[in-house]
Amino acid sequence: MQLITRHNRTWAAVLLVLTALVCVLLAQQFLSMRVEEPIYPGPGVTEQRMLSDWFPGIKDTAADTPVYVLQGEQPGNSMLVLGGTHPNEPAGQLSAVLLIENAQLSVGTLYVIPRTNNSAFTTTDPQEGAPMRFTIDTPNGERWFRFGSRATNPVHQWPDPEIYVHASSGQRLSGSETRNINRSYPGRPDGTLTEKASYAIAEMIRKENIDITIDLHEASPEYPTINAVVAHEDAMELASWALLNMQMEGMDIMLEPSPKNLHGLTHRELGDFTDTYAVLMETANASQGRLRGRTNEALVVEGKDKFYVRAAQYGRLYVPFDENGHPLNERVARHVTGILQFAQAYNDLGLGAIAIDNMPTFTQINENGVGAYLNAPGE
Amino acid sequence: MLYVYLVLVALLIVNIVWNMLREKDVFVQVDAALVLVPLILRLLLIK
Repeated sequence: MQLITRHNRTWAAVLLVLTALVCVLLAQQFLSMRVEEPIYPGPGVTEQRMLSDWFPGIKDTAADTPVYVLQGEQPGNSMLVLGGTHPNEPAGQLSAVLLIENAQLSVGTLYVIPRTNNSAFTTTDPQEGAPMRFTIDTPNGERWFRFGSRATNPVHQWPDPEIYVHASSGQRLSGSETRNINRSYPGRPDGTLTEKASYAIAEMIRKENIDITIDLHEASPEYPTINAVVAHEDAMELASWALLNMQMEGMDIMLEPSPKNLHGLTHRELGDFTDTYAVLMETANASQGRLRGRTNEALVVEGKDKFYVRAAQYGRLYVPFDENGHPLNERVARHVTGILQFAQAYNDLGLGAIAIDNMPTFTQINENGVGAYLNAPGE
Repeated sequence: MLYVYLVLVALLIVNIVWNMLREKDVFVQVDAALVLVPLILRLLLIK
């Protein structure tokens, strides 16, 4: 038996205390990711519910998430806006918050989910060096928002399989995609946590007879589906009409059909498995791209990156990219304008009636910034 | 599956601490301390 000296045991004790201290400090940081950013609903919000109201299978889990209901003065048709499907694509969540804090409906009902994959907001993607939050200046103070992961927190859903097999189609993807909510639709009531969350959303659409569903995303500047609307074939006419109006507002945007052989995504499965018009919107987000430089809050908010400027000069990108970048103001302006134009197109085509009022225009958000339309902290 | 994983992590932590107390080389003890950090955070389901 080896001789154990007092000296070595003292060192071990000191190191164990240091380890405990490091664990406490790190735990505080990681646990702070579970704190939700405050949202201050405007007068248009008539009810706040939880997604588990439509599928109790996610009650008291990390997948349960707030649903804001904006009921119009007159009955009409309904729209669902999904922000935060991928919490590393912040324009989606911020656009949803802008609706919650400003929109008022005169006709119809608007449902807004700002944290669609709630669990994914509680972690960041490994090895990305991403910030845990970002801040927006408002006239009355600073507001903070969470920057999260593309996929469900592995603490909440583990382990990943070697190969993820999409339940209803048999499509095979890499194992980590099992935690990507936008590869899990239409979901399963007895599936993984992510599949239960997408099932809850599909159930909500079915039970509330939601007519239009808009899923808000962002994409890397080197990704071909960018500054685009992707629409299920049933929603093509609606999307075409809305797109023309968006272009008339000065937005450069294209329309793509939802591929029939790409499964698990909102624009495919919600169109196939519910009666909603399912569309998805993409903007250009440098902070999730592979060619980006330093990843920090400024990149998330200002969207400027010298490496993307160079990549654009080499013709490697699918969007123009100059020194001005693609700031969050522009990206949110695009999403908000898209949402309003989808409602307008629905009315114009005689499909039904939904009127979303009191929202800033594309030009106003671009010129005044998102912060000008966020409520003051504590309001 | 989760509980099996947690038991394995707990056993690993106990083993590392046990060996850390018996190790003569202080640099190996430092290595052990570094290995403990992610394991403890995993055991507590923090990260």
